[in-house]
Amino acid sequence: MLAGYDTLITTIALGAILAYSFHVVLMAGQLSLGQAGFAALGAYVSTLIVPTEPLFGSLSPVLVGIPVGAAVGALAAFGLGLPVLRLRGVFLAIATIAFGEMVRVVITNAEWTNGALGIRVEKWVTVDLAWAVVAVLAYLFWRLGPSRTGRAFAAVREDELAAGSMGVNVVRTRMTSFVASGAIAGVYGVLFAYFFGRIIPAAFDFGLMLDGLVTAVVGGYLVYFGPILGSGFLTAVPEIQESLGLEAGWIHPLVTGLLLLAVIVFLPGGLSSLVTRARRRPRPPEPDLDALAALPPPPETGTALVRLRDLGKDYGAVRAVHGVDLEIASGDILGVIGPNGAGKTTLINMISGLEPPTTGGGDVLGVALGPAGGAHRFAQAGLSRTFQHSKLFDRLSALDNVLVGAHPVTRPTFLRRLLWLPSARRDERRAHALAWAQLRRVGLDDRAGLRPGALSYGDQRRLEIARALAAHPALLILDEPAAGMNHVEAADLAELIRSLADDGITVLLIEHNVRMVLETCTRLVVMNFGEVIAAGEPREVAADPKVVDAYLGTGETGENEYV
Amino acid sequence: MRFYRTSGALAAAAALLASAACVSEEGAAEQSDDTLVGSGTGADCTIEETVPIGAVLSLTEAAAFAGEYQREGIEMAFEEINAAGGVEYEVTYEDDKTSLEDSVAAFEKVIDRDEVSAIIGPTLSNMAFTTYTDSQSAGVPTVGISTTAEGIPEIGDYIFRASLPEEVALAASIPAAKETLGIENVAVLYDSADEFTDSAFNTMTDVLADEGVEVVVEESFETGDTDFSAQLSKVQQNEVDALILSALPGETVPLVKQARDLGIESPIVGGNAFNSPVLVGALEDASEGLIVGGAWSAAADTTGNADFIADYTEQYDRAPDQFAAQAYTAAYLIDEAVRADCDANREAIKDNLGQILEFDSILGPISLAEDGEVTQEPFVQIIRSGEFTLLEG
Repeated sequence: MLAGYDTLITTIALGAILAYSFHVVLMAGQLSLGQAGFAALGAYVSTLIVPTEPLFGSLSPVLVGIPVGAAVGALAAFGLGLPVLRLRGVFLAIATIAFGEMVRVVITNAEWTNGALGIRVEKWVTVDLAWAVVAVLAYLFWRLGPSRTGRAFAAVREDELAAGSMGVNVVRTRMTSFVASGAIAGVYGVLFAYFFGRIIPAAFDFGLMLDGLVTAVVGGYLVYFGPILGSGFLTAVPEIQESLGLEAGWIHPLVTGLLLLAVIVFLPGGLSSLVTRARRRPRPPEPDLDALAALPPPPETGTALVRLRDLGKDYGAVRAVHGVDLEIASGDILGVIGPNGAGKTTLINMISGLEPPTTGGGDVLGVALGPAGGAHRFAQAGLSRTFQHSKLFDRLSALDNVLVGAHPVTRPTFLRRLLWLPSARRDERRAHALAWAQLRRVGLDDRAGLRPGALSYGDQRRLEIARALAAHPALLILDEPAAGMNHVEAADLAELIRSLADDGITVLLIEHNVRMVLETCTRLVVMNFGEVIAAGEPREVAADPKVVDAYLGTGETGENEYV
Repeated sequence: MRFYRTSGALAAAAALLASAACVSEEGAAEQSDDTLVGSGTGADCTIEETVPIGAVLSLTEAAAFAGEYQREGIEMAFEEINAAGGVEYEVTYEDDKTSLEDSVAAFEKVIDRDEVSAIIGPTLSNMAFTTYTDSQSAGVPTVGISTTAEGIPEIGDYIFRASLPEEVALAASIPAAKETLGIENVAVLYDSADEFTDSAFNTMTDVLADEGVEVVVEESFETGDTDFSAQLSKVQQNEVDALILSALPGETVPLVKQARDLGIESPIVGGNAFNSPVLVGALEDASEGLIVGGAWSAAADTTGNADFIADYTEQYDRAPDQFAAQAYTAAYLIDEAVRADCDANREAIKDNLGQILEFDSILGPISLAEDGEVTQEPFVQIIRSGEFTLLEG
């Protein structure tokens, strides 16, 4: 039917598979480029195992090779990931490229690989088999996207700090994407070897890495079918040029290069953004009160949630915070005020697990402060927070931002979604109900489909609060939530905070709007030069001369205007 | 409803997977087209239909240095043949971009889409090892023109080559150099990453052993290397009578230059890669004293050689090299096979290619055996004052 086009069509499939191995790391924001190495290992090891005769008379022997390639690639990725996943961005890229080159050099010099001359094998891979693998991968990524794991990938890509604070295990998510990338690259290596019937180390070089990366980026890594689009485009463009009669050797690469440039410049989300542009707005479901009601009740009023003893943080010789003893009990609305640079944000970064303390210790919701672990453990224990400068997930819709927030109170759904289990659908529906409830609560339900960049500043702050609330926190930390709000918005916010307290959520509020703090808080802590200089009932603290001197100042009359 | 839809999709996917996993054993499709059979034989043969020929060459990227000469050689040969009349050929040129993937795709295109009667190419043995299995299983006679590595004709009975194996060229140049220059001990440098240079290295070692020449230095490098000082300083430390080199042109130029710069004055003996005027031009003075064993020589007094060089130079504005000469010859060999039975079908071409005996070409008398191997006398040349001259003992 398609005689004469088999190789072309299979090349598209192989290109897509290679691109998927980049897609999965780019989805999680990791610039990992060691796929050529994983593919080479998968290909070469599979030649040791794949039988030379068809299985049971007619089954392709590559069916043995595919899982072997996947396993080899995954293992290699795991081994490499342990040391290199500490690196980020361009450093990770360099380390992984170095790995790919290392593999190539080792294979070139090894005996069993027949060195630079390579190995010849039977051509067992057919068009159908290559496309079946693409279909399986597309299916996996289609089911992954709107699952809890898929949202964790997206959150880590957009902002690792915020993702961790929303309960996403950043280290594990990065490793998962890395290992998946290795497995897919291993499968690619096996298919490549058994389609062309030949593997040489030079096939797994820098150029292969570049091809895969370009295909993944051109196709777009925000949508599951991006690699197929990218590979189809990059394979079709030279062919179409040829059929149009563009003969000269140098014109092909030039036209292809210009088209690539056009895609990158005008479609930053890749070709797939042409398709997703038309995506419909999310429609709010009916409020599901059962989902909210089924959440665990808040801790009993008066339970100590946070206990800090002599907590301190030094940056070299700078003592950002020292000697802080603090206890926060359930039901408190604790205000923390103080001049800029007083150590307020450092203090809450320690409480939420973003920074380990250098002296002292304590526990937050039963999790001990310390160097080990990460922010996600505190988030899973019931702590949620916003940031002084909004850390929203820029390329996710408002709704998806809030859905990530629901991470700690939902169950993983990816594997169950693969099997279409009804329980996965129920869990996803519940997550959506929780997210919509919070969007309604902050008044953003009519803007759920917008990206954060399209929201006003005040709306962005409210969206961050909604995201934090979706985690159903016992303790909510708000870092200057009213910054940049006008006084009407600030008053609404104060109202919201009080209603949270009524729901039993303990709030720690850092704020420069002293009037708002005095009106909403039940307790007040004042910091200056890294120390707590006063703590207690808000009006009394505000009257404290030390506080007036350090922070509040006096009006023109010499009177303290807050008392 | 949803359940049925889902399970239907799953069943379809399972069916696709099950069928995809099967391997089919398809033999070469026997097809014969009466319109490709003409009347008369030999020079009188007349075939109505145009005979399609495919030429898969490396016209861009790494091996383009050879591919362009080959395209021109083929083009000129078929222009001459078409002008002579009787049989009209149409050649489809495909660029394999010096890559395995594109080479496989190009072979598939000329075999299945253009349905050619015969294929010429590819440029590199590296690709031939994969693509020749395809033309073999499709039953398309294929003539290699620069695929000199060991084991190429053994791929199958549809595979031929008009390219003198490197081993034969070297086997001739080493004894000739020994005889005329009195060489007793040598250094051998070779590219271990290329199929062709690596197999040539094996031949060299055998020939050197047969001739009783001692190898005092043996060093390897890889395609793409640019600095050879480590290998060359070992050569320098051991006084050798000659340096024997198995390399592609890309590495030959810097290596020979670096050797001369280091003060290594001994003659350098090489194979096919040396046999190009471009190389001599690139090397400038450093080319002096290079000894080349090859399939063709501009200085050789073979049938039509002088006309070939003159016409080629006029048409393409540069002197031909061995790649052009061998490609030119391959076109004539195919024409000879077609005219033998006046039949341009794949089977007939294949049968008659294997019967070509002592065909008078610009490479001298050339024969193709049924197993696909070529037989011809190699030419040993030495470069003196920038000119190839035959090295005669």
